[in-house]
Amino acid sequence: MMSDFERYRDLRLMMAAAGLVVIAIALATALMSVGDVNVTVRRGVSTGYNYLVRTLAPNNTANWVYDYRGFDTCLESMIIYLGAFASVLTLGRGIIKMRGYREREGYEEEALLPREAEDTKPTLILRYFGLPAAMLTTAYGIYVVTGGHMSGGGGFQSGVIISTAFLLACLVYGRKENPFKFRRDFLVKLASVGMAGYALLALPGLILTGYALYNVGANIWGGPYIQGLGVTYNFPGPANPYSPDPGVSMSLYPLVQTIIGGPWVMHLRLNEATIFGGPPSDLYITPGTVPYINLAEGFNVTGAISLIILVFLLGWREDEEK
Amino acid sequence: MNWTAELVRFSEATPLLLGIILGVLFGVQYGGKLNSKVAATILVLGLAAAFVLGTFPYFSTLPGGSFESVVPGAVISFANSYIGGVIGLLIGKVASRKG
Repeated sequence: MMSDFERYRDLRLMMAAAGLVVIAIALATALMSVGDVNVTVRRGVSTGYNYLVRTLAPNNTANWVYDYRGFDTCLESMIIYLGAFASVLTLGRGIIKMRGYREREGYEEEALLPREAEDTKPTLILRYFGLPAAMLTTAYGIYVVTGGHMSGGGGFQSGVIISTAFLLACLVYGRKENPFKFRRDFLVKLASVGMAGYALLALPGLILTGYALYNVGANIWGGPYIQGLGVTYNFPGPANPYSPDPGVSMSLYPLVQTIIGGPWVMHLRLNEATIFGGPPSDLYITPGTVPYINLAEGFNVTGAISLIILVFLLGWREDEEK
Repeated sequence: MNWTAELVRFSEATPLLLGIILGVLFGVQYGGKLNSKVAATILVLGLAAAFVLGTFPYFSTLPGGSFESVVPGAVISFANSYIGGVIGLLIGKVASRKG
């Protein structure tokens, strides 16, 4: 029988290679820029970002988390990913598994060990409304991740909500009758795809502008906007300090913007005056890479938190799931 | 043809399509039996929840869940990605049972 170490070897190697490439390019770029006064953080950058951020998405928090400090959030996501795997590998014996320890080692104190889910019989209401409640909660998680760039929510919240649906199903139906059958290998792949996706989303910005996780879909700092939309804004203020790399083809840059930002264009009808005109003002905006990062983050958090729930309840080994 | 309006209409359908895809992805993780009563319960409660949530801010087209473009002045709107998620979950669950 193939062990876990062998089964996930290729996935791990691919993730490690992708991560190393991104880190190596980012480090090399940063080292080459040492001493360049243009890349130092300047006073007033927050004010400038707040001034321009309305050209991305209505959810200012998503812009801050994924655009303004996207690299920081990427590392935070990695903490969740690594924390989940470290937790389940070191502590994830599973409540069901603990039953054996209690019998073998003579545990007497019930307070130390929670009751096994399989011993609990759900009530009639829970039995018939548990599945709809779990599915509707999952749908709510999907709703939250698809609209995280324009309303409350995002990848973190979505992942926790979907994991809550899984926990609800586990608590209502127990181990054997649980209809929400998250399998361990699926959760490992989901979290890995999410984490790798977030890291890889750094590449378009890095290649085109020289800045990892630069939001090439939105380009709040001016320049060409969405192709075919016929909208180009010339922002007031300092002369475009983050313009595309001069070495990048200017035909490639708008194309990437269109591919990434095009599917998420929104038409804002604002009742307040903006830098683009007096009220009511029409504004066409796109969040660019923010929805994609939301999605990757949602996968990562769903996989990580659900894996913790699964392994803490059932244990890590394959034969304990059956 | 107004390309700007078409692009916005297309963009407002993106959460709906993404909701269906994600719904199928998570729906195949659901096992067990799904009888017609449970499916109807999920659909009705899902529609009610989508109505309560309403459409996303600034969405104004039918694919975005707003009926304003069809019936001017209408205040009825639905969360399109929530409906997509519910439909996708049901499709995924049925597909997983057959698989």
